[in-house]
Amino acid sequence: MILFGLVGGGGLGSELIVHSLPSVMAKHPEVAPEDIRVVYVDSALQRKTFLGMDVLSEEEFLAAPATTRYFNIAIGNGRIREEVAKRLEPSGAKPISLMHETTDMRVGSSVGDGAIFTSRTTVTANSAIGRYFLCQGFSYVAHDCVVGDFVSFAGRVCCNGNVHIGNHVTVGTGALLRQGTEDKPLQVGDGATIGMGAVVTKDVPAGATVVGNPARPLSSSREKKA
Amino acid sequence: MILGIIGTEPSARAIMPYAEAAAAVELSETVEAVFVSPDNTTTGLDGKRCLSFDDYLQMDPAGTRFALAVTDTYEREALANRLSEAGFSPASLRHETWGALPGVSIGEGDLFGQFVAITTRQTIGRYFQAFAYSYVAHDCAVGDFVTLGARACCNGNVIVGNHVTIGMGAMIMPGRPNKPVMIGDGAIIGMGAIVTGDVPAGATVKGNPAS
Repeated sequence: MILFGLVGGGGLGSELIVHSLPSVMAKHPEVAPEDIRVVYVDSALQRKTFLGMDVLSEEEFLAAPATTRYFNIAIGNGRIREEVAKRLEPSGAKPISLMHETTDMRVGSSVGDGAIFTSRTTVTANSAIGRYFLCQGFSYVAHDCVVGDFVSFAGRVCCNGNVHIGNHVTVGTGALLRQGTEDKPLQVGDGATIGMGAVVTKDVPAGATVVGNPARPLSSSREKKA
Repeated sequence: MILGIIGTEPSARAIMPYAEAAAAVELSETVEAVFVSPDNTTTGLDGKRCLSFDDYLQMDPAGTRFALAVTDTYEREALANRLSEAGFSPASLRHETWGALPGVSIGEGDLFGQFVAITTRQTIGRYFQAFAYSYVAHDCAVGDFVTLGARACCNGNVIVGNHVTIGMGAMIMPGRPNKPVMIGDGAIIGMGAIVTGDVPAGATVKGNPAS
């Protein structure tokens, strides 16, 4: 019996559960679907089932009978994804990427463990993407990008060519990241947050939150308004 | 079966190329799509027949379905009422590239353009129009006679009232399960607007952030 646990029974988890079984089946074509058990893993969810699936705590998930134990994390916050991964990986559970059938992954790009690509997402040529990348509907990563670990894209994010994104970066719905050049890529520092609809035309420092068109730090755009 | 595409504006002409195929999927029979002009002009368009509204009403309702390709949501409701009183039924026209996840209910008479994505756990009302690349994410409730422009993004936990128009490329920030974002009846969200909070009924908002 292969056990797959989707950590997080919220809105994102409700969207991703249908990707779970096909992703495990794609990795194990030799296993019959009835020998794969899909569950939610969420200690905070105050119920035993969610959308027809069993809900287990992390302890129950790690103790449940299984020949192979896989998981992925349906949580938008990259730092929380990192904490969960750090707890589950040493306990013998393995990350498995969830990829919608419409995802378009081109040659020459690499993606780390535990990625999530929902419908109509694209990674074009020669990009290197880190671990536990979350890429939601219609978003793309263009050529020659470098994306760190635990990065989250909401829907329709346009990450153009030669953009380097640090670890734990969150990019809001529909944000546009201007292309860099091979010599001078656009840099988004570790832990930065890019607001919904922001148009990022220059480097974003580590830890900064930027919004608007063109994107500016949140504090200065608030001051301007006042 | 005759499929009457009610409307001659560009949105009607955009639907026509895939209307027959989409209706054939829903109705399981061959379909001839024709334009129906609400203002009774009857010049053929894009190589298709064009009937006047009055002539369309003379047809046998059993042999026809209609699709309301009318952008104005109130005009859409008036025409829907008139047609259903006369015994006509709507078709649902969805481009073959649309997609949805389980747990979705959609009212009658919807029109979906290319690559429309409806995710999970949501209720969508009658005569919903979603243009190409638009999406509605998890746990949303959308009222009747709502229009979602091309590339519009409706994120999770958003309640959209009746007769709301969401412009091309506009984005609505996600709400929370216990505090959804509310878009009131009749609100208009401008093209490219970034909506970061509730929008009162009847209001028009635009810009980034929308105000």
